[in-house]
Amino acid sequence: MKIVKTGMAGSLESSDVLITVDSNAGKGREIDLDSIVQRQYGKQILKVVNNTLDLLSVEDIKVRLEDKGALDCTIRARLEAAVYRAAGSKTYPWEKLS
Amino acid sequence: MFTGQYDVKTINFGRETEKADLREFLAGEDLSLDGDIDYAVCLFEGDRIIASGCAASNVLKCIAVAAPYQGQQLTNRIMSLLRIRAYHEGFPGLFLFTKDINEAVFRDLGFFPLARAPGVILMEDKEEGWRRYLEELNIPEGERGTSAALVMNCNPFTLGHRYLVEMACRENDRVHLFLVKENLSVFPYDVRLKLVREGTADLDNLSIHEGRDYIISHATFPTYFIKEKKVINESHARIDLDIFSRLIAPELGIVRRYVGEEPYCPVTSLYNRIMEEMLPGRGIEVVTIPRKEAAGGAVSATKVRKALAEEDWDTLEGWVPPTTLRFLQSEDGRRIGNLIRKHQEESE
Repeated sequence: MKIVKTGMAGSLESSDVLITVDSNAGKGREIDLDSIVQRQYGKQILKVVNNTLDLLSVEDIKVRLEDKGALDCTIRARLEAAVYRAAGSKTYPWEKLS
Repeated sequence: MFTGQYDVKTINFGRETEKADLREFLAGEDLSLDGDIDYAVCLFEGDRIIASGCAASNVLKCIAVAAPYQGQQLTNRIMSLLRIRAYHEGFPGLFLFTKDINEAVFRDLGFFPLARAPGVILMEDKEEGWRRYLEELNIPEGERGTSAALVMNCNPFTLGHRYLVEMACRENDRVHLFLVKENLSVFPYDVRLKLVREGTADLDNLSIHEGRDYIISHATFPTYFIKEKKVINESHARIDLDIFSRLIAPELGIVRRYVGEEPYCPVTSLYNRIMEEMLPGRGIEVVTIPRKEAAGGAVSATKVRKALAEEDWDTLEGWVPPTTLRFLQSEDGRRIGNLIRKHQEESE
């Protein structure tokens, strides 16, 4: 999927994450993580982000995560939503994500 | 979005009762509902406001949680709502005004300090966003180095402006003119820029730049644009001058700032006074130039606008350069004249 504009999803509530994604044409993935549990789960969060982006076939993207302790499933859901919004896509590849 | 036991509601500014409730809540938090605020979201317990967050386009302010409700992360909830709204509005970046004691709270919410004044702080949602602005100005190496600066609105460009710019260009090797970008003046930015360019084409040591967010904008100096209220907010002037003197001037080698004497407008004269107080200590000399006198007293853009509304071409000829006069007499210029006249009639 190709990122063509800014996309945002989530919130700053406890146990949620606010994710902003933007285009990064030809420059790969740029992930900026700011988490209250960075030391404990920073690596795990980056893994979830990269896995999700792999599933969605997103190569070039800027991702900013403001994490307030979201679980993996939440991070994944928020990232998917942000990417769809940023791709201006109306057809979701549901089967790829299940 | 999880909203807990409180109701989320945006304030309808068309309804006086809702506005009055918000104003009352903010007053209790030692905040005031500025005239430029165009969005407000509140948390309610029953019909009572217990937390609020407001925005003047991309500037967030008046974010408060009533004391008995603190400690429930309601600021996070308010900020989520403001951020999502800003996203839907398509703002490329956000600023945030708050009391300095709240700095840590908003740092945790993704904001970085940009400028300070006693008791208040202006934050931005990116670190050193001003650097990008300076890069985008694309100033050639040859135009850097010891220089002077002017910040002007030029609504429109008059012989008074010309006089001030000319003076600066004569006394300095390089002069940077920052033209206020905000489109809240009756002459649109593009027209103001065109008239400044045409009126200064012969001055080859002058560089003209777009003022944008970091120089007298609705973010750094909102009071400038709600002048008619005659609200004088010293903090705003200090925030704007803090950015100029601490971040912009050192990067461009600016050691002098030229300013026209301002005997009429209280907001601008306060701004000038604070400039004289703050800048010299930060290595920038303030040069105040008396107004240029012409037939009928000192030249001012306010008087030019009035004369344009009256289509008093003879007077205008003595106040504006031929380049500006040509525009004023064009169809676009006359249309602006009609606009001013309508405003005047309405306010009478």
